[in-house]
Amino acid sequence: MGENDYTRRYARFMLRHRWAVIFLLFAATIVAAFYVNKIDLRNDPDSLLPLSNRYIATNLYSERIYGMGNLMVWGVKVKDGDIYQPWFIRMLIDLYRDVSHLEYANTDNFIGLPSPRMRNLGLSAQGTLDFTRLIPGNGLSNDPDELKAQMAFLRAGLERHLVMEPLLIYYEDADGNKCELLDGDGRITNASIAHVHAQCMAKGTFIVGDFGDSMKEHHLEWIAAVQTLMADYQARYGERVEFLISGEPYFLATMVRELWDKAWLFGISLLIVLVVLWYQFRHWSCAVLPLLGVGMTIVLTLGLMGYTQFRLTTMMMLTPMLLLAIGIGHAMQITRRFMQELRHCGDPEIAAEVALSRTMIPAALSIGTDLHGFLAISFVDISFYKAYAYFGIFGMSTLILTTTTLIPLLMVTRPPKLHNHEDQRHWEARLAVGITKMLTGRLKWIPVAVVIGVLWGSAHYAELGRGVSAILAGEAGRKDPEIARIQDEFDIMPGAEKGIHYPRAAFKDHYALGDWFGTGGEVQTIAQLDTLSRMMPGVITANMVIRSKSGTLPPCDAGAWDKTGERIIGPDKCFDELNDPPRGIFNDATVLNALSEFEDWLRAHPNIGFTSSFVQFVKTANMMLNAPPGAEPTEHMNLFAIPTVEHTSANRYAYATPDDPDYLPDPNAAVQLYNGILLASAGSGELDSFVNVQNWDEGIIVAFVNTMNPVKAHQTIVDIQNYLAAHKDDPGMRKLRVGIDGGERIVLPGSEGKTSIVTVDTIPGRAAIGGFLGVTEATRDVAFEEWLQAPAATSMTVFAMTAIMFRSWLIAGILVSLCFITLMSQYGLGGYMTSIQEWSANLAFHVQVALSIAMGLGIDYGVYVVARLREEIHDAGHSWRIGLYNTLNSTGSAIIISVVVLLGSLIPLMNTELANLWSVSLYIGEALVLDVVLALMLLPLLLYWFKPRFVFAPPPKDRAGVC
Amino acid sequence: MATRENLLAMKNLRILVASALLCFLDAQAQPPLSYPSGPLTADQVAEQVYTSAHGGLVQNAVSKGKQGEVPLLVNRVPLEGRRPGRKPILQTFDTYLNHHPQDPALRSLQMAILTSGKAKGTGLLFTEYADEQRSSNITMWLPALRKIRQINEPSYEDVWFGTNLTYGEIVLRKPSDEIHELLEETVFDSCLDAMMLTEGEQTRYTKGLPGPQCGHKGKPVYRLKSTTKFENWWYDYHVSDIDMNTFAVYRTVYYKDREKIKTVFVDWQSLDQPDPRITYPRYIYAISHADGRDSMVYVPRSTIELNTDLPDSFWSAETLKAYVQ
Repeated sequence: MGENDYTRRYARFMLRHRWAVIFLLFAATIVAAFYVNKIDLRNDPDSLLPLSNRYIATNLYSERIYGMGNLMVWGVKVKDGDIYQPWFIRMLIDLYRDVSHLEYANTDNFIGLPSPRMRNLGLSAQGTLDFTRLIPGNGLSNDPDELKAQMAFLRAGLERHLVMEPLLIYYEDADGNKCELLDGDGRITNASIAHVHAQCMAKGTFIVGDFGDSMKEHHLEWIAAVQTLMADYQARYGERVEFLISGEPYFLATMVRELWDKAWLFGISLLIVLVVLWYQFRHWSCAVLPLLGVGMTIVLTLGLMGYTQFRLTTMMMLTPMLLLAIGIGHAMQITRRFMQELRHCGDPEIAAEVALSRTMIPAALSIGTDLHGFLAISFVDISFYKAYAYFGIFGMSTLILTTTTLIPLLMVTRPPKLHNHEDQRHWEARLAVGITKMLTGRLKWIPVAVVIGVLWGSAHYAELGRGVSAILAGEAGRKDPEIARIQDEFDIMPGAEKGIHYPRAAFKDHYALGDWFGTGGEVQTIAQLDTLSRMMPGVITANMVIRSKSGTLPPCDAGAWDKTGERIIGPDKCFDELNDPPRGIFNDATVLNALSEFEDWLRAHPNIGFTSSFVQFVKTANMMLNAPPGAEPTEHMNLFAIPTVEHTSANRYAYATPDDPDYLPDPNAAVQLYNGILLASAGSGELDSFVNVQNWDEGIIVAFVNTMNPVKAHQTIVDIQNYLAAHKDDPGMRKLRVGIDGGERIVLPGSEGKTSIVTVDTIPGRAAIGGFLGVTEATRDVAFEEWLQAPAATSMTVFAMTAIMFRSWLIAGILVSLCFITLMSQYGLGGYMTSIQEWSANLAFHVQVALSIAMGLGIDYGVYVVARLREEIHDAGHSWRIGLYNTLNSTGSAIIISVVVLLGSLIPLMNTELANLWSVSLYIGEALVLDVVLALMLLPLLLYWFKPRFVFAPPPKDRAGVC
Repeated sequence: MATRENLLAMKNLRILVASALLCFLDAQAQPPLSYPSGPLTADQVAEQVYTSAHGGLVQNAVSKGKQGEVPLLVNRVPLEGRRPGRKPILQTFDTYLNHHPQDPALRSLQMAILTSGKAKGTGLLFTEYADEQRSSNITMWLPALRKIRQINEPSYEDVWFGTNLTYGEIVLRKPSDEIHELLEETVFDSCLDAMMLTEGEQTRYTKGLPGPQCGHKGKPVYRLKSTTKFENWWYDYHVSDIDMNTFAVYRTVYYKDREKIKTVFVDWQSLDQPDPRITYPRYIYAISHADGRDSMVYVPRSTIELNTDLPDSFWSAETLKAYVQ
């Protein structure tokens, strides 16, 4: 039984039962429509990457154990004068109160000048240590004299606050440049502070807030509340104060908001598609029915997304638009064929049967190749890759029913009337003539030259030469760290940066629609982040989870003693906080000193603006409690240190006692005392963000990173890892480990129950670092894993599929070669974007998803051209010129219209403020345009030169039409 | 993100010295207020409560661990931070209160010594002066440093020893800081809540913590509404149930913006003194309703002695230095 028998039977069956088929498809679509509003679009980057990645596991560990996972920053910069103005401080108090009362706020974790924890670090008038709140709990006084005293107290308190001042106060010199409170070595000294206070003005301050995970489920309501609040402050104080806002929750929620705000663009897109279809067919039914069929596919796919409750990101908006673009292509093929057969036979039923039976196989094969791009990425352990893959495969699969099958059934039900003006468009013939002339004459080298040019340009921007040279440099070249890196990461195209700049991957810095509508093309989300980045020590964090190497004893349960009070489970098995000798690395002065030195090194790093840890508590306590009585503690900043023997010996004046001038405190006893005091004094849970007060065996260092440039971010991680490797055997450091180890099993609490993770050691010998810097590095690692692998997997399956389809290795080889040309051009595009530092569109992992998808989609054009050429060459009696002309005149023009429709459907994706949709659209659009050029110009040449039997062999049987 | 460490460091040091558990048997050496008779106004009830709760009716008081029983403070983290196996933070302590020092310049002397954990031996001497214009003074002994440090008086809103109580609630707040309104005279109709630990949270020290107290059920109480005079304060008003006989406050509920934000239960028990107002808080249990954070102070009766013959010189830095040895 030949293939036509199957397709004929399929076509007849469908036509016989067309009302049932139509009813079932519409019913399924209506059911799916009820689930569309249940789509879980929560934009949670924490769920993007595999938890088994050590960076991701460390980040999740730090967020779940130490909190501060959803940080927001509000910056307020006064336009005239400094921040020490009563109206400004009153406004700040109000703003702090309002933002800390926003829904889902973890009020305890908020930091800002009005925070109850913001205390004086000095002496009272009586000479006693004074820890009064810098801003009174009930606000500033209305009495002028008292108010004046309060403002002076606030200023003096902040100016001697060696930890909070660098974090919360923004100083600017007369030229508007930022003044740094830390010296060049990253240390705070009396001299560095004095210089800033003398030369610069305090122009701004910040409120840092933390929000719970449940906020992610109510993005839109939450951001509406934030925007309403900020609009109110802007209206009241906008003339005197510049308000800035940023933070992960704001970012993510803004992305969802932006999609809703720009939903009208989708209408524009549909209109373009409708107009193109009408232009092509001049029948409204031929324009509407393809849109209807594709619309059903979109609704079915969105319904499945809602039904499965798969966690999706805003990037998933690409899926319906791809379905629209690809689906319209298939819809056009069947509509065009139906109209051809209708004109030929005049009988709609026969036309539908022929069109369906003739289009079924190429449509199925073409959709099959489309699926390969999605299938390949379904194996990548990144949630949004999987989401693209699963829903892409589902949506593409339904197209066979909603377009190829449904459209002829509907056409039969209400056939279009034929008119004389339905002849071919003139441009199609002109295009076919032009390209045929070019490919059969001397000008045929033009497309070859264009392709060579594209490849050369791509290799140039991707720096293929540098990459290959580095690989070939071998062991001898490894002295150069860059060559060693290229070898280790097999980065043969180092010009195309694979790291990610997360904010720019999420948002563009500029968008054209804003310019056109006069609302300003600058994307405020990025502009405010950039400003805050310049003002603050850093807006992303690197979290170093510090744990002991020796392991940790559990706390003793009540059963550790019998009824007589005898201990039956010994101190080697469990730990009694009240009676057992202190244990845990955070009770060990050598460990604390090692961490202190590590923090000093971090602070001196050019890409790190500041650090924070429990060690700073201990150092502060040491300074406050050992400064000579009656002296301002901050005048003895040399005592802001861990009291090691070396330190106390060098500062004997502060530690010796009147009774015993030779006395120096035992370092461990001293830090244990500080820990005990801090624990007994802090509110329960307040130290949880810094140290585990149950076992004192683990804590966290948070470094504020002042760059998001992917190259610098990676270098920062490498530098930290190198420091830790170089000092791993130092006293103190040898007792600790940083980050989650490879092969480790961790169980983490969460709002949706426990999460159990077993890590994979993807970075052997290197410390895993959490925070946004760690996530950035993990993303880079994943990108390096996938940038060659995923396209290679796709190309292999495409090769196999086309080889089976055409029963020709040669044709499969030619088609895959075309894919590689397109792929190389995408790498080149990545290189170009890197060269201009356009971090919205470098070759980061979110963009890489486009490589496989474009490969799967792009092969369609080649498949259609090969299949049609075969038909036309045989119909033309093996005349290459006529066969080529007829192919270009029919399939070629259809391909061009498909691409126009596709580019039209990309309009909404390209014109929001969202960079991820823009960049993926850009890569897919670029690839498909090049694919069209290759399919219409280079592919025929290659087929002509290599003469594959599939195309040039004797004609197949059963080529006759039904009429 | 965080860098809260210095904020916390400051606060912590201050709170430690400021609060130091001196207060729950606190005395503000005022002339003893006579036992009232006849109907009372809201202000008179508040005055009686203040005098009774702050121990102004005794000469001195000692709370010291003995025979395996120790005063114990238990702090539990907010609900969100409670993970399986996590134990509450515990602290044991001894306190010595002198309400009537012989030096007329002094109003009271109070001493607290931490008796367990890493800060064991750390001692605090709180000196309050008769001159109300003069700030109180705290002397702190740091055993590992062998140092005495002087620290200034805390503020009303400072948290008390890491609990969810404030220093104002326990020590500083005076009747004149609030406007009082007698809502009704009624009958106390429920048990007093207490900290209920799960099995995983229990240790040998918390096994003996008392459960809910129902012994006060049915006692006649004043229901007093007290509205703060401070602007932008952390609460708007609180409603207290006050024993009409002993003036012990069994339950205080705090409100902010009409929302119930915190409830404090105190199991006041008789010390078998002629004046019924002389009582001691067997336990104080406070729970914050927003996040579930709770704290409990447990003072076994066996640890308490009243009107001992300790000389005023006992309340000194030298005692602090020598105490643990």
